[in-house]
Amino acid sequence: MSVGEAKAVIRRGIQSAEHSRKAIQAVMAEAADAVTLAAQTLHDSRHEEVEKSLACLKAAEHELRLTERRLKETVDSASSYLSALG
Amino acid sequence: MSSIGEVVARLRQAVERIDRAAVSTAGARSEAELSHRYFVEAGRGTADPRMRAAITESRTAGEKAGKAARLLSEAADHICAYIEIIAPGAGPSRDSATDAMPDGKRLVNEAADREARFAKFHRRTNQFLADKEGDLKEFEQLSREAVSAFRDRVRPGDVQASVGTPKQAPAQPRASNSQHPVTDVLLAVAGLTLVARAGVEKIRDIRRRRSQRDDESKAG
Repeated sequence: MSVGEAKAVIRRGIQSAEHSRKAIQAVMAEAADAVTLAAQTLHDSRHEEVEKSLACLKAAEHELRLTERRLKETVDSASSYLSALG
Repeated sequence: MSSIGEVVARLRQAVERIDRAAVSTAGARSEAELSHRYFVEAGRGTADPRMRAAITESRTAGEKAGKAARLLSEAADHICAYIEIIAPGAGPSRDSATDAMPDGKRLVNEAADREARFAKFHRRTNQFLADKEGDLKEFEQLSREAVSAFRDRVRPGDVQASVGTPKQAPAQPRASNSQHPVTDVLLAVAGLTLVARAGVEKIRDIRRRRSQRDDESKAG
């Protein structure tokens, strides 16, 4: 693969990672809304299903944050390499 | 909170949002995996740490997005189960008949249910898009942004020409076999992202049907 070809493929990779990151950021906002709604509605319940649901939501939010961070690292690293290729 | 009905309505609203978030997260995971494949392809033969980092980070991002999607889906399932407990028959629950089962079996069933739900969702989404064929204008309006975002990816032969290894080019086989490559790729992308609302409706249908089926099997 020539340098030009490699750069074209890297650009596509960066584009996909950026799309993914935007989608994750949108989901983070939506998930936060859902957590607020569920937590407000269920605040006086200690039912097992409620506890499990809220625990899953918290864990999901955590994974979403990690995903977003990894995607940022992806974009930054690939962009830096792309610049180095000239 | 003044009534059970109100609580149930709000919880169903939460389930709908969480389901929608799960579907979008699954779409983001596909995109992350796609970017990983591009970096693997472009990174052949280079040991540059930035390229290695892009490869590793994009793979981890895909894995974490997949985990987040599963957790969101599980969260929605638990809320559905709770709705069924506080207002039997009111919720889109599906666990009521499986409570007595051994844990392992229940987990397997739940995993299978989730898989089936997504598979059905995909089929129905594709059907939904096919039904819209006569009215593509509306759909195009909805998907204009995605079309422009993905246009350069779906030109037949484009990826093959620049990469030289069609096996590694994710969208290429699809595009070259289709009369309408843009629509074709949109079926895949839109299936996860654009018509999430329709998908959520379908998921609720499926849950309702499953709930009825559970009730029947309980009665019998």
